[in-house]
Amino acid sequence: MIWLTWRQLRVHVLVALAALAAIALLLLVTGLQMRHSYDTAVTAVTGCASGCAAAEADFLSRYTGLSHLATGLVIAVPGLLGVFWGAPLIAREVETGTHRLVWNQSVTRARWLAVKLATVGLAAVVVTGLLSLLVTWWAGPLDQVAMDRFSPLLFSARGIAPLGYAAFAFTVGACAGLLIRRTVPAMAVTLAVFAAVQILMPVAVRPYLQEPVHTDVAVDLSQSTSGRYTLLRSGSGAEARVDVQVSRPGDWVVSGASPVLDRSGRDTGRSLACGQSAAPAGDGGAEGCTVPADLHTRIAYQPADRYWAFQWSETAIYLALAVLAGGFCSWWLRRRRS
Amino acid sequence: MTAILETAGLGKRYGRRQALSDCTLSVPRGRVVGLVGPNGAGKSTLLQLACGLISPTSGTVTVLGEPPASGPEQLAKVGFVAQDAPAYAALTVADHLRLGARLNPGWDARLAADRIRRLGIDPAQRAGALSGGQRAQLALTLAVAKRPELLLLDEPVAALDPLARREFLRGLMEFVAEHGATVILSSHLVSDLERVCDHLIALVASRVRLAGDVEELLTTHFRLTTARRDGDSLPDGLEVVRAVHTGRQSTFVVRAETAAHDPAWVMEPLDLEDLVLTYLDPAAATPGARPVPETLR
Amino acid sequence: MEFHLDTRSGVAPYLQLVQQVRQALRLGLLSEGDRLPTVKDVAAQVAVNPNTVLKAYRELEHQGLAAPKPGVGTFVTGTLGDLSPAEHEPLRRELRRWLGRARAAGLDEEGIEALFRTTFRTHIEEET
Repeated sequence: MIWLTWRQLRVHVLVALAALAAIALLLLVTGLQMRHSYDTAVTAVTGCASGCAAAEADFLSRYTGLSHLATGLVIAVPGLLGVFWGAPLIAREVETGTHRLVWNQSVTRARWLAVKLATVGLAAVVVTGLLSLLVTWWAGPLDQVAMDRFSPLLFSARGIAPLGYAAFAFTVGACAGLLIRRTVPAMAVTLAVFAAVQILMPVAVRPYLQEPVHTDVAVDLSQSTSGRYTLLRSGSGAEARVDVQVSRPGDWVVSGASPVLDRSGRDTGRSLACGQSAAPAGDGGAEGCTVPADLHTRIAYQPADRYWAFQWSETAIYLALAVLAGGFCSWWLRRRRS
Repeated sequence: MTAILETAGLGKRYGRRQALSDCTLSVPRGRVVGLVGPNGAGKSTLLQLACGLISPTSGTVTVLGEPPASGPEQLAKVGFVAQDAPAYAALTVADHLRLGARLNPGWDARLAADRIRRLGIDPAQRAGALSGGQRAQLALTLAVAKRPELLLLDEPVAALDPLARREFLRGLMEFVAEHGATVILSSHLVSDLERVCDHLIALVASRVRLAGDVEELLTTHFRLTTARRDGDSLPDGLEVVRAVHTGRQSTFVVRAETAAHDPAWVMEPLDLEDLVLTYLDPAAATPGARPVPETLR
Repeated sequence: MEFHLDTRSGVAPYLQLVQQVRQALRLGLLSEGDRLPTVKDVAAQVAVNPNTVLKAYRELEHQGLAAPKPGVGTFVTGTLGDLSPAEHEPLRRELRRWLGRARAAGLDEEGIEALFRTTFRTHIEEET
């Protein structure tokens, strides 16, 4: 059974490995270059007295394009494997009628499915794992400078989480193929389901994997451009208000825009807006409105040291989902709805 | 003689369509069974139920005393060639044989290799490039080389030209002669069935109309031509299966233990094709005709 | 020995095989001691059910024309004690006279044929 699965998969795996090798070559070359420039830049950064931000920004901007490409690739590959390996796994057999050939050999359907899911699924996980490993290595210096690997997009494109995604996308594809019995619609459904889960996860699940840490952050309106926080205006006229979005290097701030509070903990969003509308060009002008001093906001965040705990949790969740989906396939097949 | 395939009240429903109803059959071991019937009568459904590709919605089916496809041992005992003889287009003929060898513990590699060689099929050829006849032969090779006790063939020759059809049946009969397997094959080409089958099952509109050994069927069915008369007026022992009346003449197909000779009529034997067509004709269910027993003994 | 089947003839397949062996004996293509093809070979060559071949061979045994040697095959053991053409003559004359009478009685060609065939068949059935 393993032989047959391998024989059917052979070409796909070779294509995937060839693509992976090409990408590896590109990342290896640019990654070594990057390390070289990082070494020169990092001395500038760590030892810099002034213009550090500029040196960092310069270093990051040099690799913006490639970095987006690499990140995008790691995000896309599990979905692609789900669509091109998972969805046709059973649907193609049913479409071409070969399931009636293979199900009449001396191998039970349950075993056939188990071997197929395990073998091809493992291949999908390995391919994705290698890619993620490569990209994680490649982007190491960039992530270290930008301190943003906990952000939702990069989190999904580094470390071990992509392995879970690949396993999940693949089994979802297999299930879709089994239920829909036609390759192309199964591919579309796989993509839709996987994309939906990938969007839902960082919004609705990942922030709550562990109780976030709550803390107060001082807001100094005269330094709003420091990058530590961004002021967000909303509404107009009497409804206008200003909130603040805080960012903390390395941490993942999960609370989003939060109200600016005064010393006694009162929301000052309205009076801030008033102050800003009085001085539209200014960042924190307070003429005409009373803007209280000593402002702060309350945020919730996941500290940077939880990064790997989150990676493991997320991988485990997706692997569990994959096992569930695989179990469902097996149960459905045993019902022999042919 | 023990039954190799037994069904009791077997039925299969697809949504609102009843593909097979109330099918009770007992197929004796060692026969080559022809399964005939118009398209959509339930032939494929019955075969797929027998090999376990689908499960019944009512009734039971057992092959060699076990439910179909209940485990690897059971699967090994039943060979199935699906309609249109599916094969992996991208895999070569040799790959298919390797597939058979890997997936079947009882695989007869010599039988498989011999068959392919004698058929003149290039083992390096991809299955997708084979002709219809060659693909059917490949599918048959896969099914017979696992050395099944029961071989199920769903319309194996329907898509083949006469030469390929004859080739296919020759290979099949050789296998039967050598290994004594029971074969059930569906077809609507009665002339082919006449050569190879010694047992017949006719399905009409999802029901079994007729089942029995060909020889018994042939010796107990007659065409009776006479001056116009009512079927009821025929003597006892002549059971009217079908009656056609024209101006002055009545033609009956009757079932009887032996031919009854009478100057008032001509009674002659029927050939298998006429017999099958009689039962497949919906008009065969004439008033006065008793229901046909499912097995004639 | 080559067999063939005519499924349109209305003659049972096993009887066709029997007739072909008898024909071969009559034509001298087969003679005593010859081995008949194996059941498998006939089945594969003619595309016919092996049981049909077995039945034909049993019928030949019954007629005393063949006998099986276990593990070796089925061998021709008899010759057809058919009449010589000279011995046919009196029978033919008798048949001609009968045909004349049938004509005189008003039967046309088809009538004669039908009468002959039904009588012949009934006779065979009564014999067996």
